[in-house]
Order: sequence, then structure tokens, then C-alpha cells
Amino acid sequence: MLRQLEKLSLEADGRYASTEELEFLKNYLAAAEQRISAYEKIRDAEEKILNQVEQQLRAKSPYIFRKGNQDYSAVCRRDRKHVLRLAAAAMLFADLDALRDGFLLWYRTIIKAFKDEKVAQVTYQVLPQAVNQVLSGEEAPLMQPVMALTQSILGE
Amino acid sequence: MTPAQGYQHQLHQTHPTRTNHYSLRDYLQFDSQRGSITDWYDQRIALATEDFVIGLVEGLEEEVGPASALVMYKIGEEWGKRDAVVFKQHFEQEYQRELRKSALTFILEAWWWPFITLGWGNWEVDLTEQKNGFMFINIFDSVVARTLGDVGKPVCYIYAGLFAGFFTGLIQKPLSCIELQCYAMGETYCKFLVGKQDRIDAAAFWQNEGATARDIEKRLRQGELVK
Amino acid sequence: MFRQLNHLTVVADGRYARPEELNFLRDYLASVETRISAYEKIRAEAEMMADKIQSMQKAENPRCFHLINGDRSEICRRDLVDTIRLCASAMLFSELDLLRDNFLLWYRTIVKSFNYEASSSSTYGKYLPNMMKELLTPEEQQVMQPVLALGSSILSK
Repeated sequence: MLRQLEKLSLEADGRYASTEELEFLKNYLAAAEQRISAYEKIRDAEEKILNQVEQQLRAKSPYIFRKGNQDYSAVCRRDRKHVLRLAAAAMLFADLDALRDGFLLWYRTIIKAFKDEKVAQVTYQVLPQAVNQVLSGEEAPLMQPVMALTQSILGE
Repeated sequence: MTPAQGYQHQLHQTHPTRTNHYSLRDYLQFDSQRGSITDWYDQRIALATEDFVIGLVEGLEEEVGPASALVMYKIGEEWGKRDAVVFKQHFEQEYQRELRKSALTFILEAWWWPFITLGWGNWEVDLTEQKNGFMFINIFDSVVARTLGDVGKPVCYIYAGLFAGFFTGLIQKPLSCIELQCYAMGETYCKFLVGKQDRIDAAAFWQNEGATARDIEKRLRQGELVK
Repeated sequence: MFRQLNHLTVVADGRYARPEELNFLRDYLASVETRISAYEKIRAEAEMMADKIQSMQKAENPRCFHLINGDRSEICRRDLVDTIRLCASAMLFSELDLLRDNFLLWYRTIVKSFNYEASSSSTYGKYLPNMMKELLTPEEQQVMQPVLALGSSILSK
């Protein structure tokens, strides 16, 4: 949204923006209230969502956060929290490009560096369901593309 | 490179602990008032065109002839050695963790990301032979090779030098590097071997004899040195 | 708006945005329909407005566009059309800072250097605001008014 706005203001610098170019603003506007309320719900339910994901992951594999003798559940939780917040912001601003370029592509290399691909795969399968539970039927579709992008990059 | 006086990266200041800052618009700060570009660490950045790269490579060839490969390698090596020092500071500050106590794969990603952002290409590191004293690095989209096009021989000497210098600085043991295959030879990506001098010498010898990257890789993995 | 949005994306990177930080977005969104309709009206009428303003100014003073080396009506008209467009765009995006920093402050120096202050004064202090009043609904005027006030404060004496 921000990038589209900037692009529009740049391109329309020497001329007026056409009616079609103003469409995206109208489209964004039509769902903006839902975006804000979805964002606020995720913000307020952050702990609940994270707990639920953690429970489900442990149910699938009790030792999922262990590597050798080390327990990494705190680190994993911190990272999941980070992903959730950035995903919510990307939904709010309707800016998936920034999420991909500014976070996901980098984070994928970190997951690979620590050989955490399997945990990531399960995590980003479970996360969308946990998020959907706190959202209304109208809000969930706004979060869906963000979750799909996250899953495709981090959980492939 | 030293931090430029009076330049402070605003996003970095706002989020000093942010570690995902590698999109172009996050990593670089464009200051139109000063006409400058600085990176996350307040270092000045200059944009270079492909013409510049061609000019650099061909100009050097004209000046020093076949020695240009070595000169480029040495430039890269010196750069890599210095970068290892700067990188250590940045890394330890950013992750609040000692470099030597961190996982090597993680260190390497942390090191190369700024290069990805600045257009030096994506990479893939193969550490399976680390115990045997060598490793492979694949570079996709080398600036040099992409610019020069298909010239039938390896051209990425500055990368080879950079890897040699950086890894020498990182592990504090002398290492060298050679490019085994190159995009400029019609391959889809560039492949580098980093290791001790004897390994690199052996690889260079086999390469001169006409061995392909795959032959050389196989021989090294089998533990073969020059007969 | 850009600056505020940009600021919000930056703060919301390290933590969730607070309710009060989301307010400007709500305010902007509440006025966007009005902004778009105002923008589209101005887009349709800009050339006509420029012509009318010039003819009124010429009626007041036939030589008002005689600047250095003769009649510069065409150039003045082009500048007026550009300025109206930039003002409309600043209104659309609710981005007055950029209009001031990137355009108005510079344009003022141009106006001065050609001794064109009198015409500029009547254009941005009187005629343009009046024509906008005729063109726009009261609601639309409300979103356009701050831009016109800024233009007037910088380009008219």
C-alpha cells in the first residue's frame, strides 16, 4: 500500500492520476477497517496464538524444540512472535513485497543455517489456523495471502 | 571502509537490534540533500554500472596484461581480510554473541547478506568437506561474470580473493581460493573452492590440464592431491 | 500521509502499533472518498480554471503577464496548471510537507526572480481559492482548504 502510494505519487507527478490508478486506493479503503480490526485482534491475542501453536507442535512431536541436550523453545517462540507481528503489519499495510524482501528471504537463510527446516515446515502449517481462530470470517481472508507467502518461503 | 562522518542510518537508530534489514530500502539510506548513499553501518556506498566493471577489468588487463587476474585476486583478498575484522565487530554487536561461539553456517549467512543486498549475487556454501580442510561456494549472478558475458574462462578473481581474504581473517589461518567454474564459461553459476594452499595448487594444476569443475571436485572429495 | 505511514511502518516493525498510532490511518481513510472525488473534479476542471484565472487577471491589468522580454502568458499558464495539479495531488495524499519542500519553496524563488509576485498573489490568494469554492462541495473544500492555505501563504504576499 505504502509502495503503491509512493509509486502513484511519483508517476502522477507530471500528470493527473487516472481513475484506474486510483482504484487501488478505493480497494484498500473498502477493507481498511477490517485490516485494522484484524491487526488489533492479532495484537491482543498474540500470546494465545503463540501458546496454541506451541501446544500443537509439541503434540506432534514432544522433542520438537530440542537439539541434543539443548532446549530451544524460548528462541523458537521469540522467532514465531517476530514472524507473527511482521505478518500482521504486512496485512495491515497490504504490503507483501516488504515482508518478503525485508524479512522472509533473509529469515529463510537463517532457518537453513540452523537446519531448522522441518520445524519451520510444521510451524507455518499450524500458524495460519491459530491466527484464523481469532479472526472473523471477513478478516481471515485478509491474512490469508500473508500466511500463504510466509508458508511458501519459510515452510517449503 | 570507514563510517562516514555525520551519517546515521535512521532505521538502524530506531531499531538497533533489528536483524532483518536486508531489503534494499531498509539496508541503504538515500540522502538526497547530501547526495549520498550510506548502508546500515553508516558506510558510504557508491553505485557502479556494468560499464564501470568492464572498464575496470579491461583497463587493468591493458595496464598489466595477464597479471591482471592476480591483481584482482589481491584486491579482493585485501578487501576480504579487512572485511573480516569489520564483520566481527558488527556481528558481535548485532547478535550480542561472540563470533567464535556461533554456528559457522549462521556466521556465513550474516556475512554474505549485505553482499546479496548490494548486488554481488546469491550464494550457497557447501561445508560437507570442512573437516578435510576445504569447502565449496556457489555464486549465482556474479557481477563480474554477468557483465563480461561468455568469454570462455573464469573471470571472478575479485570474488576468489574476497573469499580467500575473508576466510583467512575469520579462522586466522592462511587460506586460498580458486574459481573452478564460471558463468563466463557458459555455466549456470560460478563455483569456488576455498582451502589450504596445497589443495588450491592441486586444483589449479588439474584445471590447467583441462579438468572440469566436476572432475576436480571428485578428486578432492576422494582425498587426492597432485600425483 | 507518506511520512506518517512510513513512520508507522517503522515503529510497527519492532512492536505492535498502538491504537492511537492507528488513528491517523483511520482519519485518512475516513476522508479518502472525499479526497478522490475532489481530485477527480479538479482533474476535469484544471485547464478551464487556469484560463478563467488568467482572463480575470488580464481584465484587471492587461500587461500583467508582460515579464522579461514580452508576453509570458503561456509560460505562466503552464506553471499555474502544474501548480493546481501538485496541490490536488498533495490533497489526495494528504502530504503537505512534500508539497512545501519539493515544490512551493522553490517555486516562490522563481516567482520572485521574475518579479511576478503581484499576479502570483492574486492567483493563490484570491482567484484559485474562490474557484475551488465554486467547484467543490463543502466536504471536499474541507480537505482542499489546508493545501490552498499553504499555497497562499507561500506564493502570495
